[in-house]
Amino acid sequence: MRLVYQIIVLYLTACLTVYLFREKKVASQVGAGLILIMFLLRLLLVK
Amino acid sequence: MTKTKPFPWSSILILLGSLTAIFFSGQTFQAQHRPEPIYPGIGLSAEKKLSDYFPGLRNTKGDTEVYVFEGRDKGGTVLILGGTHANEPAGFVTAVLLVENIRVSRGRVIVVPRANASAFSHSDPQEANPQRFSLPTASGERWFRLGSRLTNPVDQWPDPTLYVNPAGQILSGPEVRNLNRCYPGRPTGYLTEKVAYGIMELIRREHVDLGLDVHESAPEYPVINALVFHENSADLASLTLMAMQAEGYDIRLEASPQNLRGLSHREWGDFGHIKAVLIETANASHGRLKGKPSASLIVDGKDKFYVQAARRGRLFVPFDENGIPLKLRVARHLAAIKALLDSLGELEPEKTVVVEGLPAPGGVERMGAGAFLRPRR
Repeated sequence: MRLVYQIIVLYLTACLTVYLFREKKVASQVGAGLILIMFLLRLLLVK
Repeated sequence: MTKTKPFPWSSILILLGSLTAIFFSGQTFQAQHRPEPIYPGIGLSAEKKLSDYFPGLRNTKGDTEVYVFEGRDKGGTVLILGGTHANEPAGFVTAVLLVENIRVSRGRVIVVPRANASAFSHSDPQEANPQRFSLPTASGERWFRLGSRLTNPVDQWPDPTLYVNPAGQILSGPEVRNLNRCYPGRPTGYLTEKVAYGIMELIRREHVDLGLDVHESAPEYPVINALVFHENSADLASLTLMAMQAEGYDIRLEASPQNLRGLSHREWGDFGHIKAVLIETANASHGRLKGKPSASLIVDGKDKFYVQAARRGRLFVPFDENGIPLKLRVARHLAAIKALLDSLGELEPEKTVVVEGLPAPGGVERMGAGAFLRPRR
């Protein structure tokens, strides 16, 4: 179950990272960067 | 003419910023996993682990320290649990005070300060609680973590939609991580159920006579400043009530409901066949009516919103501008433990437990719990 969770979070993290590099507006990039913090903490199971 | 893509400087900078934030916030989270030191006193006979009683807990985050104090003379055996709920600091600090101070001359006292060790490694989401608080001692500050009511989801996940506990009660899903809903435990169940099973095994193998589970609750909760007792312990609780009232502590009795299953005061009696009592004090930092959560709210217990609530008759305990400080809550617990031990000896002389070095409740009220903690090493 933990592995499934991490695979889902990894996929979403990858999507966010791609979005961060495709997006041209800096404000949107900052938004993606902030959400990325939470996703990466979840991916590493830091709690 | 072909248009070249600009180098994504801003994306790289923001990504680096995110990684930096992850590094520092991750360290803060991980700090909560480091246990606060406990320095057992000279009265300690043996330090064990809960996995010694149930090997299924070995190398898991549910394993925890068990401190045994044994007297020379035979008597009863008393189990005292702190940290069943890691967000109820008076229970934990009381257990630490016992470990660091007591000597037993007759019978045995077994103390488990961090009953749900995993619950100390995280804090309740959306509560903005501090990760820790500290108490002044003669050798400087001693810090303690403020954990959660529930097991860390990193150690036990996912929660079921509905939880049918080992005693057959249907509860909401997250209660599967609440140690005090998981008794008598399951050896092959969830981690929290394994911890509960380990404690039941401890009770069985150590021939415990009396189990005390030390808690705190919100001032607006009806079961407060109370002893919750299994029906097999009614005489013990009644004697304790009289002894505590004689000492000036207002206390009430609550019989453990027979249809509320999975709790220590119910299942220790039903399955462990021991006398079982749960002790509650009033903690403003635990309640829904509090203002800003802070370490000083935990230690000093002052909150203007609770003062207003008390004036409007919304609370079950008196609450004024002086608040209900940690030292008073710990003193109440110590007074209850002392009265319970005395009452056990009075009712069943062959199960007398004689404890020396127990911090005097009046002294803790005056000088604070920190004055009775051992120096840092």
